[in-house]
Amino acid sequence: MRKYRKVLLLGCLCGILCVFSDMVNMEEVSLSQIILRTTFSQTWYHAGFIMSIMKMFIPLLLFQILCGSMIYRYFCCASVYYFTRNASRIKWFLLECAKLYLTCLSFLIIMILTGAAALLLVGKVTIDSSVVWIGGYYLLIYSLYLFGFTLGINVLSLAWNSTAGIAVPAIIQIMGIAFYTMMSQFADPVTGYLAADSAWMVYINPFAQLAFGIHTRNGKPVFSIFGPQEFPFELNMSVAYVGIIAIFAVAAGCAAVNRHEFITNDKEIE
Amino acid sequence: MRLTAEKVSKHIGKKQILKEVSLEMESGHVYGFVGRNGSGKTMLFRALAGLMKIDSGEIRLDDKVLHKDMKVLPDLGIVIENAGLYPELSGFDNLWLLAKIKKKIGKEEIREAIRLMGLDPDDKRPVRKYSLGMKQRIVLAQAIMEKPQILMLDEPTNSLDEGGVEDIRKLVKREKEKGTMVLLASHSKEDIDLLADKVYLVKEGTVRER
Repeated sequence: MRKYRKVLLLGCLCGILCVFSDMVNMEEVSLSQIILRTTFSQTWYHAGFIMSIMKMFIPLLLFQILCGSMIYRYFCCASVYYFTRNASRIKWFLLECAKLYLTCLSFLIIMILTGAAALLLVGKVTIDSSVVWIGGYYLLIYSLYLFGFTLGINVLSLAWNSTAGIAVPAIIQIMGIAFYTMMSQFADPVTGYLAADSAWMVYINPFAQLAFGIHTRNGKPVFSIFGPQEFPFELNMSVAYVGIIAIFAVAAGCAAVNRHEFITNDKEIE
Repeated sequence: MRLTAEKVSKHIGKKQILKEVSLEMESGHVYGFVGRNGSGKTMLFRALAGLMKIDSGEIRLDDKVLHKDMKVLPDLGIVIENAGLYPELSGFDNLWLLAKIKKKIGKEEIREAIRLMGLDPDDKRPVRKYSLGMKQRIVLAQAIMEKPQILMLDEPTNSLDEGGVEDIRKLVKREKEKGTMVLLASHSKEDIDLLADKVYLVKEGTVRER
């Protein structure tokens, strides 16, 4: 329960620091605008946006640091006493995955709601019809992304060690952001858009899946400060991408948990 | 209840830690295991408990085979040398967390087990603030709280004072009288001679009856 309280507190703090601070000067905002701001819609694949990107990405990183040992901790300290009582490790692991996923969802919802509540104190917050699909995609894509990478930290820590557990996912994500901001070097110098034959750079980049500003829905831009691109980047594609990351992390975790041998007392001091 | 190990072998890397170990143990008896540090006593307990897979051989509880019919030994209470509990939780909270896995006992049984080991169940201090002796006692409490049918005690008297050692001896005798199968690994020749019905010598991964 202590961990969940910390997650909720972090969600509230991020809602105020990231969401509220970003939109405090706007007299009237809609809930879908709040969500779009959180999904990097005010940014583009250019190095000039690195600060804006990092500001909105920090909550996701902090969550991963906080929950990166949520499952792994059972393999430290009292692991012997825990797992001599637990006959079905895979069933236990899947239950822990479900708890982790719900924690991811709670964090995202709390962050948005806290930001919205804080904005309500200084201005007007409206609920528009677009919030249904924008909010739905936001929760789906971001929760699966967060779940996949956070679970990845736990699984890598267990299978390898905690240093690798935190370093590998962090490096992948930071490199994703770095490469995303460097993509402008491959873009048309006049329009600033990537050509259709460079679309693969967007499709394979894990960070790009979070950037609603370059996404399309049914062929139309979700929201773009620079207008439509030459290629589609459907939100459903990103749902599939992050879904695959999540499924892979769960499968790898099941294998790691099932095969783990309790040779030492505490995995952290191996 | 009969616990049998037949030609159990295990190596880790290039080191053979268990070599064709064969044992037969029954309920209501105390089996002593003596051997130097690194002889394989703890690894033997881990293998018997199902915490690690064996390379060859078989471990059976009555007619059920470990790692085939069951993943871990059911109804097991275990104390492993130098294995502690979650340091940020109190003694009671640690045991409650563990008890919630099988859901066999409630808070009152946990409190009883903690009292039986000479500790205060209402002590809110985290385990990291306990003395070594208290840590050992709370670990023993977790081993007995669910009234297991098999009790594996690896160096249970470590860090305990004279009173504590006497309490452990009484505990082992009591468990034996209740029909529990007790496996006791100890450096103390006195404990082994006093308590064990049968004694095994563990040396470089091999086990033979003394």
